[in-house]
Amino acid sequence: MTSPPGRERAFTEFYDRERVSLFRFAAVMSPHLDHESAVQDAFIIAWREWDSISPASRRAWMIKVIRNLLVDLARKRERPGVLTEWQAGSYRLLVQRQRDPEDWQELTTTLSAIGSLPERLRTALAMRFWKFDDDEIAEVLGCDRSTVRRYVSQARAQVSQLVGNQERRARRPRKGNS
Amino acid sequence: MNAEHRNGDDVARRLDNLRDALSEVIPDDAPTDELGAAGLLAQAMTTSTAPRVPWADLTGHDRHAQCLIAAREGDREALDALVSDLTPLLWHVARGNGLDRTTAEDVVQNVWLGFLRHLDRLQEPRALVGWLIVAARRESRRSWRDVAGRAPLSSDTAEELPSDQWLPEVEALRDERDRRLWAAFARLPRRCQELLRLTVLAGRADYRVVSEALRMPHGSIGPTRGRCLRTLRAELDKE
Repeated sequence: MTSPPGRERAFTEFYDRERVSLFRFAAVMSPHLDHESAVQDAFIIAWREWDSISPASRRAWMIKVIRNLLVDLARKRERPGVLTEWQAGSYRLLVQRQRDPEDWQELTTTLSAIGSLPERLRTALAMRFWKFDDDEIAEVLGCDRSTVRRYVSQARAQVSQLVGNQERRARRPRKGNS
Repeated sequence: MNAEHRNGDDVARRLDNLRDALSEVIPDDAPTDELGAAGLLAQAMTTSTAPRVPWADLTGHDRHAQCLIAAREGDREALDALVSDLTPLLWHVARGNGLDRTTAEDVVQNVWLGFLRHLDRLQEPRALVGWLIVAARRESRRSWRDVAGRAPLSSDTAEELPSDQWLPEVEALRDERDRRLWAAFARLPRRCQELLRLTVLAGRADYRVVSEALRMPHGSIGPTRGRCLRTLRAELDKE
């Protein structure tokens, strides 16, 4: 059993090492929700249960808690899963540094395409997106690595379909009727 | 296909752009954030000591034991939680012992009064439910003797007797289905009635408590309960 100061040091180190990647993960998972406070809350829960989490899976444990907190947040919204214009507007915060409106448009459509994926696919893609390795993704999702790879490629295919369709829809009128 | 390939490339490009943009918004900031970590630790302390009843997330014996311990220290809320959790159970014990509504109310009341008198003397908090059930049975028999002016049935003789005098109250016989069900229920042997009241109607006692209260081996509760329900169904079908 670690002494309390040792525990605090271990926690602080963990926080310093992982916070950025966890904030980034949460931002891709649910850009329209208060993902920053979800990450903070997850750290608080982690501290309370510090001794019961195995050091090797702390990050995976955090990802799972963050996911659950984000799901809870989404449920509190009126229509979870459906992104309204107003919610899409809050992406602005995330991509405010993109001054070019076309870039901004592209980034938000990509983000909202990711946001419309089913929970598991979204988790797999968001983790892969930030270079988490397949073993860790598998641990979070409770599946094996080949399933992880399948999820990631399904997710990419669905995103591709969503953003691709929008472009096609925009172009089609110019091509005229068949 | 070529178009598909292009789409895939497009997604890869979009994801890369998005990653760059987000990395800029959430940058790799200062490697240490002692203030941030300390803030989280402080928040963890304050929220964990926030007033929150310790039994809120517990169920069953653990919950009752926690409530009992708190009630001993004068926690009114804990006592209220116990009373509202366990009154239905006591009620069914009393009714199962053949008391009418008003007498059963008195019995439940008396059991709680006795509980308050014994609050400091209950040795094992986890055995609280068993204690209450036994107290309710004793109290019920005493009332029954008072009311009927004769000795109560022992559980042995009770099993042999047809139990038509244990009719449930008129108030419960509101609609036809209830009336038929309660009438069939009343035709069951008394032990069956008591078992069903404890396991089905009160819905709170677990089998350990039931086996204590009915002095029945734990393993035979489930099968007996099944037999009682089948008998009840047969009684209903007979009509």
